[in-house]
Amino acid sequence: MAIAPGSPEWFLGFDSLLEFFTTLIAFFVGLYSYKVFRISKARKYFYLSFSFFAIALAYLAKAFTNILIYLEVNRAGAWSVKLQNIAILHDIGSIMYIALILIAYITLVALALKIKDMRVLSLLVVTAVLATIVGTSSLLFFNLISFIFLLYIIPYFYRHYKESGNTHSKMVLVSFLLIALSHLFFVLLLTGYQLFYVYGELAQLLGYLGLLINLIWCLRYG
Amino acid sequence: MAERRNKIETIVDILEVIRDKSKLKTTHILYKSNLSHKKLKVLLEELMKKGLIKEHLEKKTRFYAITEKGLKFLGEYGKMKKFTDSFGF
Repeated sequence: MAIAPGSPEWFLGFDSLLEFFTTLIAFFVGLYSYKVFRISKARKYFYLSFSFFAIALAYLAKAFTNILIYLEVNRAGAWSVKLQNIAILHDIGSIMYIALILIAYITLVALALKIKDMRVLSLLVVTAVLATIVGTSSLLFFNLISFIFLLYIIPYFYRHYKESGNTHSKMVLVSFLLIALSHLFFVLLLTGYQLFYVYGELAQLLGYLGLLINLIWCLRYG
Repeated sequence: MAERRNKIETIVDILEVIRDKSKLKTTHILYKSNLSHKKLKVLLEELMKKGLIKEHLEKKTRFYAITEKGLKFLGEYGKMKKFTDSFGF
């Protein structure tokens, strides 16, 4: 199992930097959603913050896991003598990343589709658990499941943008389109073309940057 | 104003009504907020305790005005809510 299969060697290390940045953005989005929940007590904001905290943790796990790959490749310092430990940490990081991203997306799907029926939610969770198990051996499958989940969320953001007509909703729509595109690029790694990994990482970064710009814009200019 | 509001939405509505008119009598707030007199009285007292509004008497009539803290609260909450609302949930 590897989080960065197909990554060009020159890109290893850079991907961790991008993921640390994504972690920070997702954390701030989660934090501000949580602040709104604390004041308003509206549960939807709690779930929104929960999903972004899960995304932040997922990318933190992914960043650390990719650093381990980088260290494995470069056999840097004292790490080189603890390869078995690195492999275990790497597996834990990969499982955490997959599980947390799927939990976050299921939460967003539930919010977007207003799913309150526990049977439907449990079906999604079972699908996600199966995807996690399969995903640990095939990240392509995990990325495909993630892409499908996002395909269910994006039309909701599109409708909201059409109804509200405001630029902030448009930013959210474009951001999630880019995040979905990043998962699609990771699926396309199947072709063996390594640059899809770089495109995926960049699309993902741009997507989260869009959310950050939206956050700063709202907080600064209202 | 919407019929089903949670407490914070009601508070924001009241603060916005008071802010827009600079000072308001209880009866006007009552009319605009669509609340019972009892509920409004409790909320106004809570807002005064928190320093978000202030009360003053003019010819035996109570008037309410928003404070600096109230204006700041409305501004900050509005910005944060704008961000979370951009998701449309």
